[in-house]
Amino acid sequence: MDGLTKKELLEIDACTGCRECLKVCPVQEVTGNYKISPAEKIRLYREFIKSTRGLKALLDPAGKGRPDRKLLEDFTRAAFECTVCGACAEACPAGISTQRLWPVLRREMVKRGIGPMGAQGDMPGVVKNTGNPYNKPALERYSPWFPSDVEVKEEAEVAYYAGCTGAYEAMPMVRGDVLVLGASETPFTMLPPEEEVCCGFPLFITGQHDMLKDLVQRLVKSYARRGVKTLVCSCPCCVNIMARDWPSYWGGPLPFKIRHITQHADWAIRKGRIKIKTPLYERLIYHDPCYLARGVGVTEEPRSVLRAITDMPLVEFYRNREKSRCCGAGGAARKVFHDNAVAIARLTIGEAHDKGADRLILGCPACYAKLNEAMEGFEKPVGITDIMELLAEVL
Amino acid sequence: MSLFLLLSAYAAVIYILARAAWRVWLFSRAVPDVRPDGYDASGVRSISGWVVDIVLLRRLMRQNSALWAGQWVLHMSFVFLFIRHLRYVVSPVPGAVSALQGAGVVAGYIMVCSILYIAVYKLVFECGKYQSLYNLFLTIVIVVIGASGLALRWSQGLDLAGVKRFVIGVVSLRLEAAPGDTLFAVHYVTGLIFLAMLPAHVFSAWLTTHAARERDLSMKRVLHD
Repeated sequence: MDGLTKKELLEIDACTGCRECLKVCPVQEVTGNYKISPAEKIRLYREFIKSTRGLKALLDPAGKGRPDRKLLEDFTRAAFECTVCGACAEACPAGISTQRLWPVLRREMVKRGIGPMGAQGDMPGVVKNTGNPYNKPALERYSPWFPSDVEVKEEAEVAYYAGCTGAYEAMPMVRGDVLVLGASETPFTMLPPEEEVCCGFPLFITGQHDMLKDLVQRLVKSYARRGVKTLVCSCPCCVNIMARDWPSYWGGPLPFKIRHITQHADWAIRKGRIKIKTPLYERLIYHDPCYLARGVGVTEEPRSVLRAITDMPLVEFYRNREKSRCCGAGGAARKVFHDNAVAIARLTIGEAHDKGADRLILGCPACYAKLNEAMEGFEKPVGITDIMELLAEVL
Repeated sequence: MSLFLLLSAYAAVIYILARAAWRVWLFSRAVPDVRPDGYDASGVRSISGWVVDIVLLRRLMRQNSALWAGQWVLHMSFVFLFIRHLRYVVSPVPGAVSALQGAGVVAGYIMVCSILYIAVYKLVFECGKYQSLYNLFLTIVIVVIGASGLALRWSQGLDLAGVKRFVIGVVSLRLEAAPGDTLFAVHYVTGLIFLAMLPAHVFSAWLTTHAARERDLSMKRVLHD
């Protein structure tokens, strides 16, 4: 609580206990475990504050500042099993910004040495050594998927940031991005593979904030040196941290705008720079990524791109746009809480199947990796394609 | 009995002040707010929308209209009941307070109906899955306050002038004889319990609602500048 702002303290106080958040929490949906619900996280953190800064702590010299171990374990589990999808924030009548609050509370736990969970704790060292959280060679960031016929400039006003998850775990997606950029007649630049390091999001979301300033400074300076005015990103999580948090770590407004690749594609289609050669006649259903829809409000550009691709009306999930259901991959929890992630992902796939969609269209590499994994052995199959991968097919 | 009721009031006030002081101390230790780029969306549109958000509990209305109906009526009835009870605390009674006495009486009935509606909705329609123990406790306290208040309205022989003398005495640190009515004691003590246990969201939710409105208004600007 020493590292919390007034706004964050207010938010912890503002919970009315209405429990509307439980109705939309994906982890609740698959576990039914009330102890890891949004409301319980807030309640536990209030108890944590009382136990370390309340009257009892102040009057107990021997135990001052030492919270109950069970309380800490309960809270840590609740805090790190969350996918940080932010659906609870949309449902919250008090407007608590949980998508922003949970990483802060995780940071407070990490500062006290009680988080993160499992392999999440290895991330700072891995990012420092390899530039990505997957411990993959930096020099292999682009080579397995980069199309040979797309030109990358040394300097340009538009830059493309592939992102670690796209480059290493969702290669068809980033390949589609680059093909679309090339087809849109937009000169663009990219950093060399050893310079395009992690944007910091996995560290931010797991409460390990120490390296963030260094990563941000390196990346922003590299892009600024190349004359970049617009940075186009593949991954909603990257877009989110760049637009929302990079300015704080940079020390002021960024020297370039941030855009998601679907925004660029939509612009290019409307300006006639991209022509659809063979429109599809398929029922497409689009899954709004949490950090794109709820994080930065990009919901219509992907739909506009899809309407240009298919002649059939788009199918919509029951919960769409800002109310979109989590895919299970978020919060850096997908590898530590694998079973939850797969179960949540299958809810999304199942709904797409039940609605008769021919293809489930995604806009996030984490969603892409997890949903493809969850599809294996699932009795309700549906085709999964990234939106730029799909657009590249029809150019 | 009078001394017990008097001391109960002071104990409740001390507890309320201690809670407030602790929060002020916690807030004094807060780190500065860092406003990420694209978050600022102040102005007339933001403020007027925020007022509507508070008065109509708009975020709850959008999320769950059935629960909202009960909660909005409950919160509005609190406002009228608070105004009605001012007549026991101030002397002379302002004209506006006198004028709203009738509405305050109706609010008493509505409050009990609305809290029972919320309790039935939570416990029956939602099968108790979405009910916190703390809110359940407050529900019971409010039901007792409301039921005792309505019973007092219909009871014969309650000395209203004596009630006012006693309450004014509490406010002005003077011991006056409390009415010997058990129903009054129940209403008074449960009222103090409710005030002492007043949920923290009463003081913070209207501020976080403003921040949420700012966030919603500025959302489209974050990547559309």
